[in-house]
Amino acid sequence: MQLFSALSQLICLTQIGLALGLVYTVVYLLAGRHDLPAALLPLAVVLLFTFVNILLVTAFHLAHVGREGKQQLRRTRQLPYWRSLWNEVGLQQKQPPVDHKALTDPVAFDTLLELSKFPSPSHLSLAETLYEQLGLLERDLKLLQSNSAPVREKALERLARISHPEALPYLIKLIEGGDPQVRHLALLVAARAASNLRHMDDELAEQFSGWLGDEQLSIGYSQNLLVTLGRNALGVIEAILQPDSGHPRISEALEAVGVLRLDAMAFHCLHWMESPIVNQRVSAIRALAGLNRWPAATSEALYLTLDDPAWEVRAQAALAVVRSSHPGMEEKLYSMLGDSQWWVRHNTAQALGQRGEMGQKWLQMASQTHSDRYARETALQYLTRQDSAQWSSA
Amino acid sequence: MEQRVSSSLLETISLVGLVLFFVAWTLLNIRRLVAGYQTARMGPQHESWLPEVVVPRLYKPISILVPVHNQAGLLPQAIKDLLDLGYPQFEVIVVNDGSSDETQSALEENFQLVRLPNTARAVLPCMNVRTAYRSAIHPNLLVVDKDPGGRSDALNAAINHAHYPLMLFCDLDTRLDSTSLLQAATQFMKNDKLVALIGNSQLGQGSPSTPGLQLPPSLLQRFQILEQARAFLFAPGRWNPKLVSSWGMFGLFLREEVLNVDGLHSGGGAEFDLVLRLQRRSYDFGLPFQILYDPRFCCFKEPPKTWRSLLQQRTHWQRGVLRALWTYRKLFFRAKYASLVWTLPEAWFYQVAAPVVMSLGYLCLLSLTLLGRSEFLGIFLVFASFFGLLISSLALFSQSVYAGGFRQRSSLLILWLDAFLEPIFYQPILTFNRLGALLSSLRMSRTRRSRSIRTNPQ
Repeated sequence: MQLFSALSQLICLTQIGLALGLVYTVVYLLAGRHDLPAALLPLAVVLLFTFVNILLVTAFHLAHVGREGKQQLRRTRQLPYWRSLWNEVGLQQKQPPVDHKALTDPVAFDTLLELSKFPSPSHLSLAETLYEQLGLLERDLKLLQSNSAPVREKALERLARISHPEALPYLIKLIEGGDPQVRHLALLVAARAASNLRHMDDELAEQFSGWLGDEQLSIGYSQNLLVTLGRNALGVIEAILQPDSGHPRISEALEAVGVLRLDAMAFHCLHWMESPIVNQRVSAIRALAGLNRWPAATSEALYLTLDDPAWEVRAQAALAVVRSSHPGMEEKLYSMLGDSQWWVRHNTAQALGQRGEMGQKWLQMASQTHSDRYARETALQYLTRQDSAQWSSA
Repeated sequence: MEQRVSSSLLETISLVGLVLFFVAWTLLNIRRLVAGYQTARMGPQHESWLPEVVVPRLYKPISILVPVHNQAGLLPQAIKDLLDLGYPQFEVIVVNDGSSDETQSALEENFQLVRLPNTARAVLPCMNVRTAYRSAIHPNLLVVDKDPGGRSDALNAAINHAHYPLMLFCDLDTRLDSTSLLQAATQFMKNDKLVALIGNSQLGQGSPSTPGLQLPPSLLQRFQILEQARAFLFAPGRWNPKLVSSWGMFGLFLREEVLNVDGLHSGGGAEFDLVLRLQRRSYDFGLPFQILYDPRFCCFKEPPKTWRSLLQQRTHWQRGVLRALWTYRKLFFRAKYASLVWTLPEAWFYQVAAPVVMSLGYLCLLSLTLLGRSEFLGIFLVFASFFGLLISSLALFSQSVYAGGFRQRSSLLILWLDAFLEPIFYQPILTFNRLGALLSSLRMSRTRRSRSIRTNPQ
């Protein structure tokens, strides 16, 4: 790739010079000097250089295509060999080959990583063990310190795929380094590695909470990091959701609680439902909706948020109360079908539709007798969609 | 005597025109080469493995909006291909823009549509929506049947029905690739400031089930492939965060921000116009927006097969881009838009000045040849071919490094041969067509102005 850049630079510079030579020649001719052979000499030089440049690009392109084709062919041929070899090692308990080829061959590595994609934990641990035994882990950890960004990134990619917890101390060094791009990639790889720890200690959880405070991290990336940590995210999220933490990732932590179904964080969610910040209230409601079990006070708290002044909160609350057994919930949702906001009406119809027979009755009634025209149409639309879904499943 | 005077006057005028032409032509080619160098400096694409390690449910859901007008033949397979995309959460919204053929019945037959009461938000104005339908077999397919109003109007109707935060405007002949869609969505996950990600539409034949692009047998289509490859290389604005993109663009947009700038405006170059308005909004309100270009974000399209359809398409685009440049001309002269100082004049040069100067140049070459000075035509033909071949080969190479492209050596060889002919046969025709579009735009705007003066006499 560096050669491609250098080649382009060379061509660019020579062609600029040559194009200017062309203009000079044309101006020379236009100046009335009809000495065509003399004018043609610089033109011929320009042409020759252009031709050489064309040959260079063509040769380079053909070599590039040829190299890629060969690599692809080799890969296709080698795949079955390595797959069967790793399967024999994995399933038939054969001794892994301590062969120098496995250290350098990307096909060997890719097929080894396929083992980690199997759902059973034994395959993952086998992939991890082989990765370590064959010296690949050691090699990649060394490569993390390389000065070349592409080499470092390639090592990070492999470590992300294998997610070996032993890589953590090395990744921490990178996270605490200067380059934000490397830092963020290393953080993701560290999250994957930490997700494979049997138990994450408080110190590491605190460290993750600190790293997540980096304002250069995007909302989506932070959420991804927290969800990637899996069950080990509990300590990190707890640190972030402390009432006085002032952490910039409260919404993201709440979203992760819902995705990971961390029931232990339910009381924290109830606390953040009273936040003055709309986004945090929305995320807290979404988190509660994702949990398996609710504390006793949840239904009442959710019922109250149905009257929240922010429509985003009302819209989320409508979805969250599907499971709520609060008395008078159907009547409340019936009235909310006439909300001024489209999303609130939409989510309310969905919630009523999912609240069993009683909800369906109220929805039917709303489609015929609700005083608000939009409420009637929203209810009718939901009922039509439901009919078509039932018809297709039948 | 008089004849000699007029002949020498014509020769002088032609010579002056020719100087302008050669200078413009040289500038264009130098700019192309510099852009090629900028492309090469970008280096290899990073983080292509990220989509593998992102939790699928955290990707932002996408609404794919497809306006359709009298395309019953293409319809079922194209929609099925879109519905087969491997993306965690997406919906396809097909808008039948008042088709007079079998489009609506083809949709109803193939996707078992169920009529919905119309409760979409009328956020953006559009022509009357007759009925909305949802597919009984594909819950993520929504069909909107509306009165005819053009592509932008249909897209606005689709935006009103869209549910998801990201939107992809897609024509029926566009083929998407799941991997590149995931790459694009990863960019939105990583960057909170990103409001639009512009991709690279590659021309060629083939279907999503066939790996790689096929080279079409028609010379006209292959010329377009070369032109598109050069557009990929020759996209300095695309590498620039202060992006002003070229024609035929393809992109993923944040719905909320598209609504904030009132959706799409009618006419050709609607996406170009949209990008300019997004830029303007970011400057007006001091918002830290980013509009980026990612060459890995690809779609595939089949180029027009006939000269007629090609010229119609280009006229439409050229008029749209010119209208957008004229509408937002004030962006040039205000201090707060200072960072657009290079990209906008450059767009004016290529879209407005270049067709005029280049067409004049071709005419001058012709008149000089008729006056017996054929050496200029000879020089031009030789150099146009060689420079054209150099730039096209660099463009094809750059495309194959960054975005796949054609891999077979035989295809590349055919394209190189075509690249030799393309500057001589194809480019002059398109240049005159662009000039025609420019003149007709001027005529149309003058007619509109005189009409508005008549209706508002004060």
